[in-house]
Amino acid sequence: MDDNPVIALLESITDPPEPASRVDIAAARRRGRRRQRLWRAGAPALAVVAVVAAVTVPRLVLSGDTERTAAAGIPTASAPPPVRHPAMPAAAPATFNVLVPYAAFGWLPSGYSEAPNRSNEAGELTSAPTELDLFAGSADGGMIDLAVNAKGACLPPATDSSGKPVSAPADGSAQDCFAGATGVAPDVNGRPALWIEDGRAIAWEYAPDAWASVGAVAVRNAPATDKTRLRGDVAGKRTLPPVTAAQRNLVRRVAVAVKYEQKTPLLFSFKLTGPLPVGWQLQSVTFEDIGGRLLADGLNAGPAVDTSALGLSANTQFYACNYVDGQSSYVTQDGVNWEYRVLDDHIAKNVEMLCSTTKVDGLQVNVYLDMAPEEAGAAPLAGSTALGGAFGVYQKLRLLGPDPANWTTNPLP
Amino acid sequence: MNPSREAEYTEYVQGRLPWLRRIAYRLTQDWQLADDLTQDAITSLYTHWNRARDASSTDAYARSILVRAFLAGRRSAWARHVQLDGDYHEHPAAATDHDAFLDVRAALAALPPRQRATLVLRYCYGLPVDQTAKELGCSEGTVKSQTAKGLTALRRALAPQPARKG
Repeated sequence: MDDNPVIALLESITDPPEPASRVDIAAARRRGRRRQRLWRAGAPALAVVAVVAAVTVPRLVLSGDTERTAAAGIPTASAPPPVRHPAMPAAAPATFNVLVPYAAFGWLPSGYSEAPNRSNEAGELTSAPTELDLFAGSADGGMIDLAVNAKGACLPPATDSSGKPVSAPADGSAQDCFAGATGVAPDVNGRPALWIEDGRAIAWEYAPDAWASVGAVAVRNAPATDKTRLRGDVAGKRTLPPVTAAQRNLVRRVAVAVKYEQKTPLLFSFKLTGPLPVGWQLQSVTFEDIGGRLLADGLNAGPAVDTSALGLSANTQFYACNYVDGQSSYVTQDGVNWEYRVLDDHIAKNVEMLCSTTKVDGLQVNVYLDMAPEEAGAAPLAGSTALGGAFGVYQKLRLLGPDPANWTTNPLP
Repeated sequence: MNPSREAEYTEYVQGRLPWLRRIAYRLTQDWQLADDLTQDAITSLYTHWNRARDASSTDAYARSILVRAFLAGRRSAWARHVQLDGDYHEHPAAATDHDAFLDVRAALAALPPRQRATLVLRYCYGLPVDQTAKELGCSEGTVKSQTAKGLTALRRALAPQPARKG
């Protein structure tokens, strides 16, 4: 038998009908964003984490916990308040209120903050119905990541007789929530816990069937060409130093102090004056913690078949609009100069994007509207048509200016 | 990533998800593993989106990420995450020579990952040697040798077995 028949068979292989996809694009965005931040933590972060772990934690352990208040920022070790562990909730909701982030950091190492900075881009926290993602960074690029999952959204793997995790969640609903679970950790305020990746992170059951995790991972990020960086990423060649006991203590210390059932609402710089289409709902909000104020910088809404059908942001920061030949044009409408972009090719169908090329009422406005659902071949999204396209969305938008004192806690009518 | 690029990424992945899953399936021969691999790959694609969107072929870039994630994952990560109770129901492919296709699939699945990836890219997707080398991140010589080894292994696996004397 020569190679030709084998090649002919390979060339004509047909695949069986594909089952429904479990791939979650929104989760890929969230995790990709988290991964980017951790990369940006860079080499200096290793030193920061190591120093924090080796010096700060033992000192704080000896002197008691330090409790952070929302407005006070990071406490100094010189004046630690008394030990106060937060109350653990008796039950967690199956769906979070996206407009009021459910949890918050209760303690962070000295020098860490949730406020964005140029070194680590710690901003862009995310509130979604089943997951809250918070980040804190240091000026030197260190990162701490807190993910709080709603009840049932992220369940732990089964364990063997010694308590060691043996598989991913059997229901497949939370593919990599505990992908790196490596063993049982000391309890967190009396609740069961697991080490992730030998202690780079810790996951714990903060309420029955509701889990959260904290990681303090900084990846060595030596300068690399695109090629070597890509190869390193996908080939898993990024090297991590061994986890120290002090690092484990650090993530557990952060975990122990996490506060739940928080009541601080997000503040929005805009308000929709018309209703969302029937069947659509708010799906996620990205926000920043500025001095204890939770400032939303964008939201996604849509129906179940396309949870990011509508994207809205109105920011005090200004980004250059992304002009693409063949897709973009400059237009003036409603007294605003826009880059208006339409995606309609083999990859994306019936998508309209608006980006204001100057600020409007002190804010840069972006509107993204998908007219077709994620499922290929399905009918156009009726709700998108009802909104009147991207310009129709803008016309239903009331901008509240750059001062958060004038912002609203409810962006929906 | 600014909102415009976030939207681009989402649109790209939405549009190309079926294609990426198919490649992942051909590499893994298992829909559950294919979805795990695709999830891993599109997360990596997000982190590299600025480069991917500016690449001469975003598709080639995305496929490269997927294939390399497959090769890396065989050693770690998603490959260990066996889903025990998947809802997947395998359906036989419509083929003129059903047994031959089943055989070649089984033989392909039994190949070492790099040989399998090389054959899938070259013959299932018709990539030339140089493009295959780029996407696998190896030399053209390696592609040629992996191709030869893979084809030899397939040929042996598919050859009629001599009857054993009782």
